[in-house]
Formats: sequence, C-alpha cells, structure tokens
Amino acid sequence: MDNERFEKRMKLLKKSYDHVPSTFDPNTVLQKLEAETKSPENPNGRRKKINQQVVVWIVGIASILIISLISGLYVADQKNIEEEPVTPEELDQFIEKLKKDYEAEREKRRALLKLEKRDFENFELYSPLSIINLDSYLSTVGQDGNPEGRLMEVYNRAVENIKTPSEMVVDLKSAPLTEDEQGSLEFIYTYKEKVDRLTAIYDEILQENNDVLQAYEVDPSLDKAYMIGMSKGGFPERLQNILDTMKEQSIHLQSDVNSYGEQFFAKYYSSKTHEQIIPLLHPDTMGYLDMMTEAPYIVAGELVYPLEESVDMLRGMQHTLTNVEDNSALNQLLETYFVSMFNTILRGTEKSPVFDEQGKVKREYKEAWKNMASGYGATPLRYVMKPIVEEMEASGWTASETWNRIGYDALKDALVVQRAGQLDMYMYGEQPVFQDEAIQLPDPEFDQNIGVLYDSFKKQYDLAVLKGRSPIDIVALYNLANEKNDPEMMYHLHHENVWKYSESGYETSLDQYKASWQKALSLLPLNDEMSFSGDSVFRNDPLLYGTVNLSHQGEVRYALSVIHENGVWYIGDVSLPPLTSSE
Amino acid sequence: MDESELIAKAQAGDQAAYGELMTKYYRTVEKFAFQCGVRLDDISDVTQEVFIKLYRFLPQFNQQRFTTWLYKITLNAARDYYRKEGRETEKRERFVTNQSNSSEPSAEDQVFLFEEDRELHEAMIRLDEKYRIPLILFYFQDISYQQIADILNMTMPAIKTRIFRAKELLKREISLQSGGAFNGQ
Repeated sequence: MDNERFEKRMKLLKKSYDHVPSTFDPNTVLQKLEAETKSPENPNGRRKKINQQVVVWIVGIASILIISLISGLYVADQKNIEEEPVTPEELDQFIEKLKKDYEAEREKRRALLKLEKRDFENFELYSPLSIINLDSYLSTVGQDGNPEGRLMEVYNRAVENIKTPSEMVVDLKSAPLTEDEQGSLEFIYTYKEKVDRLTAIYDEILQENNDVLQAYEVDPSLDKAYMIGMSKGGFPERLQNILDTMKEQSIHLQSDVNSYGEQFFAKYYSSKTHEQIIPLLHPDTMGYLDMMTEAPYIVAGELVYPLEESVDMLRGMQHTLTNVEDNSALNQLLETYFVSMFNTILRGTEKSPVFDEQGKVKREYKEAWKNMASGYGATPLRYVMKPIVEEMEASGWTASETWNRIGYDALKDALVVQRAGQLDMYMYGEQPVFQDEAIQLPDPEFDQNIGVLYDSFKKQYDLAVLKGRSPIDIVALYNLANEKNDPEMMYHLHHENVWKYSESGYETSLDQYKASWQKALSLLPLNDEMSFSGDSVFRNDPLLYGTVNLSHQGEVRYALSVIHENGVWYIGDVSLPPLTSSE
Repeated sequence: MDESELIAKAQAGDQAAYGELMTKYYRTVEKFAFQCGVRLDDISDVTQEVFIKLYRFLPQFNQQRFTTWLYKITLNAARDYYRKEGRETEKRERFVTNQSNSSEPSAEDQVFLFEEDRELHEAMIRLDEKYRIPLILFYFQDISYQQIADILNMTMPAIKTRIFRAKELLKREISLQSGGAFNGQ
C-alpha cells in the first residue's frame, strides 16, 4: 500500500471514531466522588469535615469580597447579586431560561446550515452546557457567590461552540486580531476545527448519496463536482441542503478521479470569506490559514502546484514555522507538509525527475533551488540549499556532494537549530561581540592616532592595517581623508559592495569616483561626541552592519553606516554631507 | 473560565469545576479508549475509572499539560482494566468470533462507516502496544511528537521511529489481510 492511500485510510478511520457512542455520565463520577468523601470508613473523614466547615466559612467570606469586584464583568442579566442572593427557585428559572435560549441558538444554527438533527449533533459535538444537567454541579454552583454569572459563562462558551465558521468571521471583523498572535492562533484552531467538523458531516452525506452523485449526468467537458454544486434542487433533501449551504462556510464540492472511480468530497477553499480573514489575523500565522486552502501539496508522489508556486508556498510556511511560537498539532502538520514538499522539490518525482538526459539539473529545478537559496539572513531553506546550489553551480549543475549526502530530515533539523537561535552561527560562524564605544570631541590624542593610521594605510591600502580597529577609528580616518582631499583613500575605506551595487546599476571604479568626487563637510569638528553601540549590530548574510553616531550636545546629528567583514570595519554610506558653497 | 482556572478550582475541591473538565474531555477519553482496544460495552466503565483516578491524583497535578496527564491515566486505566478482568487475550479472539459467527451487526459495526475502516481498526489493535499507542496518538488524537514522547516517557526520536515502524507493520498487516490487494500501488 502506498503512503498516500495509507494516509487517506487513516483519515477515514479517524472520522469513523467520531461515531463511538457515548454512554458516560459525568454525574455518576461526581456522585461516586461525593460518596467517597462522605464515607465513614475514611480515616480522614472527621478531620475533613472540620476542614470543610472552615473552608465553607473562608469561601463564604471570600465570596462576599470577590463578588463585589467581579460581578460587573459578567454579562448575565443580574439584579443586585451582591446584595440579594439568588434563591433556588430563581436559579431554577434562570437555568430553564438558559436551556430555552440555548435551544433557540441551536435551532438558529441548524437552520443556517440546513442540517438534520443527527447531523447537527455531530457539529455540536459536545455542549459545555450539558454540565447544567449535573445535580452535583448545580448544587455546587448554587452555593457559589455568583451562580448566574458562572452559568452565563458556561452558556456563552456553549454558544461559541455552535457558531458556524462564517459567523466566526463576522465576529472577527468586529474585533480584528492583526496585532494579536496568540489570539490569531486560537481563532485559527477553532475555525479549522469547525470547518473539519462540517467537512466530516458533508463527506458522510456525500458518501451516503454516492449512487445519486455518480448517476448525475453532465457534459463530459464540464467539471461534474462544480455542476453538482451549482445544482438548485433535484437531489435528495439532505444532500441538496448541504449543497445549498456549504459555500457560505467556504466549503465546496470537489472530486478526485482514481482507480476507484470519481470520488466526491467536501473541501475548504479560498472563498471571498476566506480572503476577508487574511488581513484580520496576525501576519505571521498566515501559513496555517494558507494550509487550509492549499493542502494537500503532494498527491501520489507528485507536486500539486507548479514548482515555482510550490517554492513560494514553502517560503510562506517557513515564515510561520520560524516566527510563531506554537507547539500545536497544527504546527506539526504544517511542518510535515513543509518537509515533505521540500524533499519532493529536492529529489524530483517520478513524472518530473531532477536531471535531464544529459545528467544536468533541469532548468525548472535549477530555478526552484536557486529561489530557495536566495534572499538574506539565516533561514532553514537557505541553510540547506545554499551549499547545494553553490556546489551545483561549480559543477555545471551536474553534481553536488551535499545533495548526495543529506537526508530527509535535513530541513527539519535546520528548523530545530533555527528555533534554538543557533542557525546564524551554523551559517556564518560565531558572531563577534562588539563593545560600546564613545569618544568626546575634540581629542588631540585621538586625532594624532588617526593621523598615524592615515599614514600607515596610505602606503599600500593594505587592509591588514585596519584589522581590529574600531568603527569609530574608521569613520575618523574617512573624515580625515576628506579633509586632506584624498578621494583615493576614501574609496578604499568603503566596503566593496557599495561600489558593486550602486544605485546606477554599474560598478563604480576608483577613477570614476575620483572624477566625480567633491569635498564634503568635515563632521568631527561640528560634533562633541562620536559613539558606536555594539548591541545595534545586525547581520545580513556574511556581513555585519552597524552605525557610528556623531552627536552635538546629546543630539545625534549624523549617523554613518559601517560594515564589518573579516575583522575589518568599512564605511557603508556613499558620501558625507556635501560642503555648502559658503564653507 | 479557562482550563487552568478550572484545574485550579478542581484541585481545590470544586466538583463543579471538575464536572466542567469532565464534560470537556470525556469524548477524548472515550475515543482514545476505543482506539486502544477497549470494547464499546466497557468504555463507560473505563472512562469512569479514568475520571475517578484523575480526581484522586489532581492535587499532584503540577501544571504540565493537562491532556498529557489525561492520556497517561487513560492508558493505564485501559491496561488495568484488561489486566484485572483477564480480557486482554480474550479481546482479540472476541473480535474474530464476533465477526465470523454473528450475522447481526455488532455495536462496533455501527462505528465504522466502511468495512475497510473496521479492518484497519482491527489490524491496528493487533499491533504490539509499543507500536500501537504512538500511532493512535499521532493519527487519531492529533498530538505532536513531543507530547507523545511526554505521555509515553520516551525520547522524541524513539517516538518517530516507533510511528514509522508502526506504519510499516500496519501497511503489511492490511496487505496480508486483503491478500495483497493494496500492494504495489
């Protein structure tokens, strides 16, 4: 049995387990526990009784204090609970009202979803409100300082439980979670769970009506599932009802033709409602939301989406997996998709192998791999793909030792390292620690040191001279070179990337720089402090970026970008502020 | 009231809070017990036993993940149940006998939508426990590798290996059962 079929069967079996009948009554357990507590054989019985009396007093006193603080928070329609305790009769009436209200809420959702009672029970699954049928619960709640508030909480949870996915979206619109990562995660878990419940109900109904669906005739050139979904009437009521309402919940009918024929199933899709959710949740959690509409990514060992699109999806998954702290089953599922899709792209498939007849990596794979290795910063995809791409490029895209050697879990391992905050080190080595530095200006001794450094570096522009010097020294040296009308030194003090990747798109040569050079404002005399913060250094691939600030009377007036590579600080900014005509 | 509040209240002896916890989790226990091989007739007893044990141990609960604890107790309750009643060995025979001798649909039959599901369930029950339980937790309880490792007091790599091996064994078992009809797809 192949893996895909196995997974499918396990999924179906999981649905079957939802039909395990329930005969458990929590009330029985509470009664047993109560009997145990009261049992005369209990050697601790007497002591417990005394303790209980004390507890009752303490709880009584505490309740009075707490009620006055928290009663305002409850939504319950209460009337001066703090002052007037609820009588048992009032509580009974309140419970009856809750039951009635809940039944109305249930019916509202059932009508909305057009589900039969038995089907709706599967959507409801369990109702938190069933607790109010427990005698022990009611007797304890009755002694609570705020029984109505407590019951109202349970009621609200029960209503939340039966809200449809589309209702959840309406609620979300009124209270977006864009800034709230944890809230977004909770929304997605609940939303997905409800979608899954509905999908399971729909699948069962579709399965029971399989003969009718198979017999439905449409033009062979048309998508049968789509046509059935569009049908207005003509199917048995239970089936027609779900066909009429499922799209409202962003679920539609799909079919899959395999060796068993055309199989119909319900699938969550990227509807307009779904698209409305996207801007309302924390952006880092998007990977989960995308997974709901995109999965599965691989069918029968082949990628479902084109390579380029699959790589984009991988990047989206990676963003969520590396930015969201979450140890849920959803996270596990996303990680599984992430790893399996990556390995499929890395190893190719039966229908689309990686190598062409000449033994070269095919163009589409070459692009996909380079895409995975591109970007900046330490990411799991880059960590795994960079050496492969480099080795492949060196061999004319025919071989890579890393490609031969790495196993299925390479990306997963990189993810673990990334989550542990170690991937930077694995990719670029240990980051040097830079101390904070500051120098008060003017400082003749400092000026003298920089003068010596100028003479030394001027001889051959040997970078070894600059090795180990602080970024403050380099900025001062750059400033001195400007004062001395020495564009050549200024050119050499810049990091090479400044010239390679200039805005013009052309690499700037020394001659071009010299030809266009103009003396700039000398910054040091205008300021009283030059400082550098080691903490503010950040990495962008192998380069480290920092800033040297020039301040006057505590106010930063100039901030020069500096770049660190192989023990040497360079100037990152292209130029100093120009000298005005009057200066 | 969130779960941690319910747990704290239940620990302090609030039976109502414990009632809410039971209401929230009894379906998990019922399904897990059935997946582990407890017969439908016995599930109610096992579930009851789980929640009584859970309540007794509640004062010792130290804020680790509640469900981890719940699964551990359910697993032990299922084991104890069969150990006490000597049913572990009978259980498998009963499955076979039920299916071959009775023309009446059994209670188990009502659970499974398709014959294939029943066969897969039975094949899974026949697996050695060390493979069966990680597989169930992973596929049917949607639990992360790490939490499975916590429940079974094992390392995460060991869990992954067990699940991988369990899948292989189960695939082989089904193929044998169906005369190799699913092989080679």
